[in-house]
Amino acid sequence: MPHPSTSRPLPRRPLRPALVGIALGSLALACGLEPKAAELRYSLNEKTIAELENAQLEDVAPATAAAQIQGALEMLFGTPSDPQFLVLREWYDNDQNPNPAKWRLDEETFAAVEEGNRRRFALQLELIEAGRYAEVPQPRYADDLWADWTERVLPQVLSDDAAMVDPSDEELGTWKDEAAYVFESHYPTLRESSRMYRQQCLHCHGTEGGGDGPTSPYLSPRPRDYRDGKFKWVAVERNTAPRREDLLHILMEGVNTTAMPPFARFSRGELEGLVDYVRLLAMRGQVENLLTAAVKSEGYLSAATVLENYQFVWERWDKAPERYVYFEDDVPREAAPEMIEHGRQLFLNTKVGQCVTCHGPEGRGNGESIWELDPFRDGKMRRRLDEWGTARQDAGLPEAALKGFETSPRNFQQAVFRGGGRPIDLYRRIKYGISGTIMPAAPAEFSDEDIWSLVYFVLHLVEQSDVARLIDAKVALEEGRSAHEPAAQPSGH
Amino acid sequence: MMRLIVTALFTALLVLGVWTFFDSTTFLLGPERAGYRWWWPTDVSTYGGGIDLLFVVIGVMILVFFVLTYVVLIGAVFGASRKSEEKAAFTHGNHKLELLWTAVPAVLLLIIAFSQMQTWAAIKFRGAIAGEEIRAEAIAEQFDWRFRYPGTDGVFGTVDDIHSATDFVVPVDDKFVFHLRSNDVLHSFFVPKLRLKQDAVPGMTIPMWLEVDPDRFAREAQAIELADGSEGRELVVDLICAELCGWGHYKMAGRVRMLSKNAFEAWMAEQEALRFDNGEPE
Repeated sequence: MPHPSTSRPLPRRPLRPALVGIALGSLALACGLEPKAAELRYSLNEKTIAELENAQLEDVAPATAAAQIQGALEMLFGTPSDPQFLVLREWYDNDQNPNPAKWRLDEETFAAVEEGNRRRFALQLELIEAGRYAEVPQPRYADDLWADWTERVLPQVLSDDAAMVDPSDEELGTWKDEAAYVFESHYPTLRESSRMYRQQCLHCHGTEGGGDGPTSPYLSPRPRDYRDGKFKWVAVERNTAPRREDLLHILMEGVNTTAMPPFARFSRGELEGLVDYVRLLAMRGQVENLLTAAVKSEGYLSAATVLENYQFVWERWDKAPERYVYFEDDVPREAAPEMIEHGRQLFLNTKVGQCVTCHGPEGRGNGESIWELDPFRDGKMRRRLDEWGTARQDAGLPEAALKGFETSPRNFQQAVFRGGGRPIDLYRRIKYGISGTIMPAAPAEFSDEDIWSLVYFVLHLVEQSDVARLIDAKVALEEGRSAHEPAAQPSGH
Repeated sequence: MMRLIVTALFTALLVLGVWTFFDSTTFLLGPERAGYRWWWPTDVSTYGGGIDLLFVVIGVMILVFFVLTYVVLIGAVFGASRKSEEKAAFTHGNHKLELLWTAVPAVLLLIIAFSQMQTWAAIKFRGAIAGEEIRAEAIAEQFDWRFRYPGTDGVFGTVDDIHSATDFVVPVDDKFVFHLRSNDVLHSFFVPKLRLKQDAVPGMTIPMWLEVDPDRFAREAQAIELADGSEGRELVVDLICAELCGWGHYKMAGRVRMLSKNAFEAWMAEQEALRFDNGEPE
């Protein structure tokens, strides 16, 4: 049976207003009146809302508490279109400002940023050099730079580019020098980085960095949820804040076999700006978690609590370099068979270390400890959740919201390490574990020697299943050679 | 009136077509850049001349027939649409004409087929690189390029392998043979500046090679300072994925860094040191 509306003839009247609308719209566009998007806002974590609803607060309604937390977060971190760290009174007194700016960079970073800018703005700098100021095109992700250029510098260079910027200060040079300097020394503001984040990162990581962007449902593993402040592939101790270098490293290298690609083609300045912004999102999420906990325990939210927690999170991030992990001696370059055997014994030990209980006897990541009773299905087992998943489950979120937070220990036979396959990377993973996962730090009785034995045992497993090796073996088989004797390989191994 | 408009439109198409063929700079998207010759970036490989020649041969053929077809078309549109009392002639076809327009393209196709064989054999046949040492692996993956070098022991899959994301670093000294693989779906390894294009097929290991012409490299490369203070030379060009490989296809851009011999050795040494770095801050 046809839908009733399809059999009725379309009324003719609405056409006319529509036409008038189109005409008016075109006229507005022609006059430069573009439609403006609504002001962007960060939303609260669904975990926060569930926690507040389940908390049975006496003095305040969950919606009010949520609004208070959201307002507090907006005060501390701003909005996506205008993100900004709140400057505390004592920081201001000590001349500290957590917001990024070029004059707060250390010398080495500033030099790298400048070098990157010379490539990024090569065209602009070339045109400035040639004196063709009016033709300088607008670069991407540099709105504040562009505003500075069009409002302050461009009118000056167009009228007289040889005039001094400040006649009393020779060092500042002419306006032409200033024009080049504006581009060369550019360091992105949080606003510019947020814009870049929204174009390059948001579709996976989400507006708030919750790992819930529009493409995230199609990805395995899930994109990182920054909001708990936990990052897996870092060079700091387990569950501490990452250093800037750790975040930058991931941006430069990507994460192998995940949807996180390397962004090395962007300039150093752009990437440093993204690091600034990811730090803001992660801190925002952490403060949100702490404020939710405070509301739950105290029953209300006070201004003092907000500022205390903000300061607490900042201290944690400021201390990140102190938690850096490295090895004092030389990294062993190869392992004797006894060392690998020792590593194997440690790996298989079910009392201490217990690697095998999760990674499985063949290192396939299928040990029995990764299973637990499924609370949603009687008598069924499910994969254990990681810390992100556990926190969501504890907050009372439904089962569907836990998807993608299952634990999956590394399968060494895939011969891939997401956080880097260098010996020192594996040393860090084994010695201090992986933040947010069930991979713990090594037991205290493990000496560095034990850890290196484990590293080389794992690398040995990986070597055995390397694709290039397997293909070699297959070719050897086809050629009638024994699979174990290498083909015409250069000497060495 | 209509007759004139249609004729003018077709003539405009003809003029535009010929114009675009000869004047690329007006139609190249993006800022006008140095390093472009006619429609393509200048070639820095030793073997790219053959490919460019093929391109020119096919281009000229297309141009000639484009002009020919349009002249006939415009003539037909203009001539046939005039008011006339004459009755239209009816034809069952012209055997000679049909023979002609079958034979001419066939000959042209044969010319293309035979003239490209040599180039194809030199670039793609495995015989050209039989027995050569495999010096790197390029691995395509949604959505990045990763590269692996066998390190000092010359064997892939050992602890001293050198890994590089995004940047494919190659020396300019001689033939550089490498393997191309894909981890997931079809990708295509495309370096316009090196006239190199090859699909990466999951499950297949495809041997490839490239060779940078030292003179052309010398003309375009830039000086860089090496760690020991000496001067090396570097040329960075685009590596793109030329096969729609999924939603992040546009992200899949890499770079080929061609380095002079000393710069490549310095890079290798640096990477080897980094491989066994203990992470101690300086």
